[in-house]
Amino acid sequence: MAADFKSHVLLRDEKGLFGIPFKRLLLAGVGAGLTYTLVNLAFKGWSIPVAALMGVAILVLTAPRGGIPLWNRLVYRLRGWLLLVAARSPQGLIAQLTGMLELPVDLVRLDGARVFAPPSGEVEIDLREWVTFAHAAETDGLVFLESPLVDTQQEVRHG
Amino acid sequence: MDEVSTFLIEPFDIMLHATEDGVQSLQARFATWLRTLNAPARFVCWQMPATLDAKINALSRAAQATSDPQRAQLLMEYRRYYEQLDDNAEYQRALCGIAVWSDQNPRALAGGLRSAFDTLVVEGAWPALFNGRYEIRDAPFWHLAPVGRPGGRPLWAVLNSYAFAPATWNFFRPLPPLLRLNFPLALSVDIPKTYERNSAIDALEGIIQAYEVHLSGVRGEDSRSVQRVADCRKALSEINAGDALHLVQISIAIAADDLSTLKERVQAVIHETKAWFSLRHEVGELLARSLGYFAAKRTKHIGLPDTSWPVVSRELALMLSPLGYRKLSATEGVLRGEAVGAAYPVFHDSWRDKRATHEIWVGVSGYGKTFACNCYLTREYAENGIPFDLLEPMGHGRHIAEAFGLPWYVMSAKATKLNPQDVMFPTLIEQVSHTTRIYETVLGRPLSGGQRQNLERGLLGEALEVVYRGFGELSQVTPEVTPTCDLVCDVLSGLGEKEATRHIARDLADEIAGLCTGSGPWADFLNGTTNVDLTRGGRDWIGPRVFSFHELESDPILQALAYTQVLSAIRRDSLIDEQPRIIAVDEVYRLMRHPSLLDFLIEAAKTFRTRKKKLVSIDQQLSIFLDNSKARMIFENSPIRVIFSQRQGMNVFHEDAAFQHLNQQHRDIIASLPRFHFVLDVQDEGLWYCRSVATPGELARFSTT
Repeated sequence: MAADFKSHVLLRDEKGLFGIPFKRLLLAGVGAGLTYTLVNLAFKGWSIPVAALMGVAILVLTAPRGGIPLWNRLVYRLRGWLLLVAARSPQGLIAQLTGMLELPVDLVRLDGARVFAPPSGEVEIDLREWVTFAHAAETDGLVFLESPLVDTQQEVRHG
Repeated sequence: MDEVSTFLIEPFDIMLHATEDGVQSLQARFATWLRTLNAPARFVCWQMPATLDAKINALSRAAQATSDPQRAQLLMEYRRYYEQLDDNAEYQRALCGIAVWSDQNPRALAGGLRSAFDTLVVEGAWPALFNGRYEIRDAPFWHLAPVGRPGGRPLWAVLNSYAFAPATWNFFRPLPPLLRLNFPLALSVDIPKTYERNSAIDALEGIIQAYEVHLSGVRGEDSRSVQRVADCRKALSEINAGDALHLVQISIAIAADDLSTLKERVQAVIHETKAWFSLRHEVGELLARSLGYFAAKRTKHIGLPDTSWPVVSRELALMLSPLGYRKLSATEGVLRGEAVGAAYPVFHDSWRDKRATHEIWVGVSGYGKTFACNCYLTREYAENGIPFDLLEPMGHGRHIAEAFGLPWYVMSAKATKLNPQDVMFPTLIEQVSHTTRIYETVLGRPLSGGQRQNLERGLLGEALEVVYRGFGELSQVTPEVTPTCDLVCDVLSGLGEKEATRHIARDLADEIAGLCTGSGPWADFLNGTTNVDLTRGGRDWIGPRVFSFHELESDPILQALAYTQVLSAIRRDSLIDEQPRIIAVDEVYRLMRHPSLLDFLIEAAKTFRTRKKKLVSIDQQLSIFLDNSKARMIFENSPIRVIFSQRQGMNVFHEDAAFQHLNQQHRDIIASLPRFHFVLDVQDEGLWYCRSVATPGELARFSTT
């Protein structure tokens, strides 16, 4: 018995140009246009090459690498590198930067006992170890009282 | 918020399900459980290097502790054998676990898992992927390295899945080959979400609609969209057939002792799975976060970018295939054999659970029962100091007796005397009932069922009470002073108040005397003082003993009587203490064919169980335990079954409800078991297909058997 795995049935993956989906092309186009507009204000002669470069960069950075966009992967890599440097020199500039960015420096040093700790609240109860009392009034066992809450009231008074 | 419950699952052997029907049934069972999933869950399989060190150390300690030089010598012999096994193999230990984030009762969840996976599932904390402190390193590639002294701790890398190819999965590809790469790794199948049926259908219908709109406006070919619509429709039909839609991500943690090996292994795993799914070697922060997939940590708290993939239950069921790859299990207990195929030693400790001690061994002659039994008894004696009583009718007990210099009691019609009146029970009622049963066997008829027979039983009982009453305490009746058959017949012949009763008593006394006294056929054997030492003799501990009945082969009644008296003596001594002991009865059918002795055997089996004694009932066909409702009680009291070739008696495995847990593949294996191969079936624990293995010492001692 076997099963033929299917494509991602919850994802719309539409056709684009040159194997690039339309949404990425659209983003690259918008990014390039915006860059052209902004650069054109300051450096008129550079606006077209910079916009083209931006368009290509957006196309490259949004390309998936290992299931996630390249820019996202680079960010994680950068964060990892920052964490490493911060952990190696805790007084350095990078350490202060990671502190400002609230990066989790503790991820660099991992303690097996903490990372793989059993979920909190898990109490192992071995039912075979339950104590059964054969007679009432045995130590810590069942005690018959003459009336309800007698002992409790006495304890409150003494307390 | 739902609490997480973690469970540990003992892997089973997929070889025992490896037929089309077998794997289909497995997939259906797994899928059925997954369909009911309505909360996040995670399946993890850990494959870690394992050694026999614990076993070797335990044997060394036992050898130092024992004052018995023979046991110490045996222990060293086993130690050398395990060291040799360890040197020649690279064992891995596999363990599986499931975590479910649900508000359901964990015990109920464990029960559901147990019935779905048909293997041992217990609530328990997951093992840690690594111990001690580790740190992330980025050069020469991203990995985890131990901080401080490594102390044998490996380096780790983590891979996560991000895309699944349209390929065919089954229980043998693609995950099991990863486990066969035989290096330490852990594999996690994370199921962060299971769609509620209607929302899954809505989501899929939405996608189909969107694609159809898109396709209606497309000129030319868009095969990807067409395929996507086909896939969605197929998924819809499977969901409508009962499946659930799950999101799934596979993570694999790989270990190695050095960086170059780690890199090689990472590439090997990526390459091995490329045709089915793509893996991403995690870097930076993602590497540290990915470790959460091997702990009971919620997916959203792990915080990795979502690269999960939607699969239906029947597809997800195949991702649990590592469950079918059992490797070296615990080393507690004694060696029972070597797993066929996987070639790891199978150890089993039957003493840890009081319920599961008795065993039934069946198999046709010449297929290795006796040899395996001798080896098993030797191992229990050497490793755990558990003595044994071997009762066998063929004379092969000589080998084990000679090997260990044990007393070998050969029951003989001419030389042996076993007095039926020997005290075997602590109370007079039980003792009288026991002796009456022996006389019933001698007479060849029950003393019950009719008015005369009832009277006869009463009179015989009265006669026995008279002869025992002279001693006061039954415990004072030693074999030397035990009344003989002569005396019983004399007393019996004088009993009865009315003439008719006296007449019956005299007739019965004459009948018994004719058989058991004077020149009667069984007089030499029964009438006199017992000359086999079956007494405890004030000992705290009785060593191993071997009783052979081959010289009684020509007389089945004498054989049955001898079996009964020996077993009775063993039973009597068993009641006194709770020291573990094994009582192995070969050719148990010879006892069971006498109805009164069968009752005795059933009773003995129950008594043995409460006193930490293991009864091993050995015979050729399993059917002898199942054809008779009384004999069945022995079977039902024996949760461990060792099944050698049963090619002549396969019908019980098809017809009997006790074997419903066996599939066609199990039955095929049992029907065609070669010599020295057997199936070890332990109720509620599992099924192992094993080959008898023996140490050089065992081979030297028992090869002639």
